[in-house]
Amino acid sequence: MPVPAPKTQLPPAYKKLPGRGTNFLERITLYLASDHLLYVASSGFSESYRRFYYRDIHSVSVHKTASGLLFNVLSGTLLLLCLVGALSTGGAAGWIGWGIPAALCVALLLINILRGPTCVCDIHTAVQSRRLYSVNRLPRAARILAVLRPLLLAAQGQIDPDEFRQRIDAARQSAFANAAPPVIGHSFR
Amino acid sequence: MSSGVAAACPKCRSALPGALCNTPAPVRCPACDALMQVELFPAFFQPAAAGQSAEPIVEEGVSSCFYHEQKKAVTHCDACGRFLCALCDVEFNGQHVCPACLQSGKQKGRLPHLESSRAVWDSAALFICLAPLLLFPVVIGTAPVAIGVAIFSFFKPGSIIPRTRIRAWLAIGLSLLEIAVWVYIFFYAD
Repeated sequence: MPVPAPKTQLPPAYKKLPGRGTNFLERITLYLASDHLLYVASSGFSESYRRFYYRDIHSVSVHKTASGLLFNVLSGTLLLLCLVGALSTGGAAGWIGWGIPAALCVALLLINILRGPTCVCDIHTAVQSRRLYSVNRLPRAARILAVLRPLLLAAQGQIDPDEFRQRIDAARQSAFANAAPPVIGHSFR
Repeated sequence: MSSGVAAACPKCRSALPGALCNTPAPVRCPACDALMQVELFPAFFQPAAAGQSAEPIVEEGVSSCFYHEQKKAVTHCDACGRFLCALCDVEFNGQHVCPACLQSGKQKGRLPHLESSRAVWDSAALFICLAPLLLFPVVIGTAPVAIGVAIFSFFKPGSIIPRTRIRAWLAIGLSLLEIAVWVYIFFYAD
């Protein structure tokens, strides 16, 4: 007996969240739907999707990384080298010749500074954690958290902030009390 | 993360006190000094949902599950109408469906909420159109293929995210241009 398929459902309406990132193999973007966050990994000819339902999201964590600073140091060093090159060469040709790469370095430096410090952002549910590669700047992370927070609280309900902190502290104490002895090969700080 | 697990610094994984979670701006981790922000939501404290178990039939005349004759039916499949026990009942997007219908719906592409990947034919058409330009003479073979793939993309479901058909039209336009240039170079140019 052939199995009938359920009625065709319309895909939900998606709204793009700011930012685009890459994990070297795929281009990552995030979209908002009415009840979930869609993580789209595009590899050119195909797209894979992961859905994080608002009711299931446990936490979103962000931490600053040093890659933005490293980029600034690298661009600054190159800019300095260009200036030294221009000074040592001298003349209009030297200034024009070294000025073009110097201008490029200044542009890259300014863009990087204006975009803000770099960060990594992870989303956690009960069964998985995923890095959100498109959220790679702290200001962008703040904007996305501001968009996500009300949606997640609407789906999960509100908790009084003081009670929330108490429950986090209680969970922390409980985790310390039930901590397993260290396993050889694991690093603990 | 789940109930009973402490909130941790995303960098060093050390347990964080409540005062350092859900802060309006990033704060420093007391253990590694990294600038971080951890936003926890009420689901963090919810215990893991226990799986349902089907009730056995203990009296005569009670409807049984289509898949498990010894189990009591609790609902019916909205797609095929078969009676289902609590174990076979999959509540999905406001519908109660049986695992077989769910599988069938997924295979036939009728449940966009379950789709985990899609081919994007319009991007493929654009790639087939543009990549061979590096070896121009071969475009006479690839341009018609690109046109075919672009037309094929109009009849296939595209990405589930909002997207225009500009890539497909661009692939058709550029491929026609490639064919015209190829014909001009190889037949009319001196």
